[in-house]
Amino acid sequence: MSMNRRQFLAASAAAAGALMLRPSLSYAIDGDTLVVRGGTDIQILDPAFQNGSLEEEIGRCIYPSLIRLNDVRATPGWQTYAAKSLVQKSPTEIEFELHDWLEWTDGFGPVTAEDVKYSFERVATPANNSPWAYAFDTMETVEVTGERTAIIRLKTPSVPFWVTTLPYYMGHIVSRKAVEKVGGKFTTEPPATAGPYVIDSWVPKQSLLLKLNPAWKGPQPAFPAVKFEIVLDDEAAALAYEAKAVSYTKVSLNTLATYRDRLPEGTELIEMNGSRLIWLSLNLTNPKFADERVRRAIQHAIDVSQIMAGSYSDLAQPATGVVPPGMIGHREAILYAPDMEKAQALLEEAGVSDLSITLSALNDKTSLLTCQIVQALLSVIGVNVEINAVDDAVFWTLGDKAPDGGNTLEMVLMNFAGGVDPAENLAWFRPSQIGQLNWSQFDSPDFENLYLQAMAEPNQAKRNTMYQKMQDLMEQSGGFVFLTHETFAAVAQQGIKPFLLADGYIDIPRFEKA
Amino acid sequence: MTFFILRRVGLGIAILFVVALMLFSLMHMIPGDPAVVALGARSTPEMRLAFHEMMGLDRPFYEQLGLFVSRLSVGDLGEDVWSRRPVLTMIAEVMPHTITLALASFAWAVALGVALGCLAVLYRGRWPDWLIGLLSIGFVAVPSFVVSLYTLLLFAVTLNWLPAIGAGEMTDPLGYIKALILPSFAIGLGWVGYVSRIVRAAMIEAMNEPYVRTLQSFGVGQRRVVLRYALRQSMLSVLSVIAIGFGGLLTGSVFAEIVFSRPGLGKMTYDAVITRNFPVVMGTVMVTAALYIACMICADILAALLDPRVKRALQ
Repeated sequence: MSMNRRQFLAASAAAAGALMLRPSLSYAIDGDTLVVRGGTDIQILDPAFQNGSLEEEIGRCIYPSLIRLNDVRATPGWQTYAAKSLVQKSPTEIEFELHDWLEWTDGFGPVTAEDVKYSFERVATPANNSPWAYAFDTMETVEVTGERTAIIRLKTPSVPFWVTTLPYYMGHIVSRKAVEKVGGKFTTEPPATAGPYVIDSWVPKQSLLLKLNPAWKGPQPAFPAVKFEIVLDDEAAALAYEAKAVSYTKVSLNTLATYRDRLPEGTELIEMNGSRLIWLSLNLTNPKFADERVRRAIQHAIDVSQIMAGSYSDLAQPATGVVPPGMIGHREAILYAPDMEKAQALLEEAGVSDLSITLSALNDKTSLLTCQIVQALLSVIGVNVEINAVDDAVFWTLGDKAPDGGNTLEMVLMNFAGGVDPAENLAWFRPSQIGQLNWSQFDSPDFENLYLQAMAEPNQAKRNTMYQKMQDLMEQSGGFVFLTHETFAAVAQQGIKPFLLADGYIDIPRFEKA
Repeated sequence: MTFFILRRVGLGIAILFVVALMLFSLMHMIPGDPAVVALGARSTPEMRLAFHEMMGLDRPFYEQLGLFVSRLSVGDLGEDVWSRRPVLTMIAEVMPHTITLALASFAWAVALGVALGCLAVLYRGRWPDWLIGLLSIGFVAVPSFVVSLYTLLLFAVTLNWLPAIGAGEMTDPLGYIKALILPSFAIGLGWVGYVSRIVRAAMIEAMNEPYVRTLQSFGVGQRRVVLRYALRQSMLSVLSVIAIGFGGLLTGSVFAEIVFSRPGLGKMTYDAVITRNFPVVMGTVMVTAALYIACMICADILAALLDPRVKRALQ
């Protein structure tokens, strides 16, 4: 058989093409590398200033924290982590001792109590402008008593300090020497880390690879390497999962609806209560809502079940307050149930016949759907709603004070990610938050007193009652219509056991092979 | 010729300045606070104020513009609002992916477009010509994100032949090429339609030239006349359209970059606009505009080199 140059080239090209296009079994499984989706790219890995979900997830891999929380689906509680021991000496004193094997990378020596003090105080110091400073409001100081021992002194007893501040990103420990060497701040290149993983490589906007930290002597992660594939869009992430490009990803409610009917083969579907609260906020200082009967009429006119059906395809449950189900302080029911006739009667009693309200909201699909349903519901009682949909950068400035100190906002479809303790969810409705995140301008001294009492109250049953009472006060004010805590949904390939924290954040070092 | 090139380059710089001015004005007119996005919803007004001062956003508009232009003249595009990384470095990281994607899309467009255009001429007036005409218009009409989604569903999700996300790594050429096939096809397909119609029209014009009739009268076969002679001449007129189209491919890649989660200039610009990351928006748009202008200048120069009549007209 003879072959000329032209035929040879054609045959070679065909063979190369066939090799390239040969079916591959999977792109997600690459030896012992766990491939998960990163919902954002990294921008700041400094725990004092980080602001993204991927940064938080990577933070747990590369920095130690004194304690860490249990899986949100397991028994609530925490375990010591960087701390060998951590005890509450008194209601305002927490004494800890660090493990002696904790070592910074890049030759910055052992992890010391001085590092813990530095890490906490740089977040707490107002001059540093850390967005997480509020988490240390209750902390007075960290008193170093030895190379690896210290006492954290609190101004007042604080239960949330244990479950929000210490185990979360604001409680991640950085190396004082290393951070000071780079000028006190850093962004995408941590000068030293001490967690179970180290960053091996980062391809901006594409992927980030973690490898085991050889100096780590703590609990060994199940996966020697972890690759975050950066996929910003939820729908694209679901497709990436189906194409086996990632082994774990959070999915949208649209995808959840599809997967409930047709789950990809070899997939575990994870569903749980979300902690992101969606609610309607009425500006109590706006003259349109000066009459309590008008506010109450709006509360009675909003049938949340219709929003759940229309905007969430019945995949989420109506909220009864700020505190989600499963957390102390959760209320079983709202005070003002849907009742159109009552709403109509209240408006008539108030003598209001031509009320027109501007409803401001984010411009995503679910928010717009919700706004349209609210518009339709309020039109039944003769209230006209104009929708003002804006993007993120505009939306979060809406609640800012006007030059005269007031705010002309009317009604807003608000959303907010809650925490693991009711105090974190309720903090944003304190009087001190007016002009910042308390967009209803809800100014209740009773609420503030209860908030402070509950922070210091160690008895959980008493805290439960206090937090329920606080939500009653919110609803009684007429400034709030609680809609939902959404639903968290994710998929994982069989063979992987994900570790989930509140709001669906993952703790990669505790992922297991099932 | 040197004067001609200098004139084109000078004009390009003037266009860039106008682009910078327009963009800068636009960005300061749209509502929204980059500090809110950068610091998060929980940031206090004091923190936002400090951020504005740090970014120079508290300065008058003309001062900010002057600073930007003076930096731009020395090739400094500023820093990313959050990561403080130089914008030029960030662009340099994604630029190879965008250029490669545009080149691969261009390859699809030229290879398929020219072939279909030639076939249409060879079978002019018969059913293959009509079919190609229909297909070409169909290729132009279907948005690239639709092609992206369907090719992804078929080749990545269902058949699992090609990767669904990412651009691969340069160190793995085979993986890199695999990651390039679907997005480049999705972007290039629309251009296949354009190119095939332009090639067909230009070749029909060329087929009426006296030299073609002479060749035919000497008994040269139709296939040889079309592929060897008419195609060469018609490619001259296709060239400028393709060069300008290449500039468009650079900017039109954003949907494919989002669907396939590829790093690239288009997606970087989109993300930066959403998050009001002004330095990155300015940097990416200026670089894209510069590339676009460079493509147009190259097209003019090539056309002038190949056809003196064009050179005279442009001068």
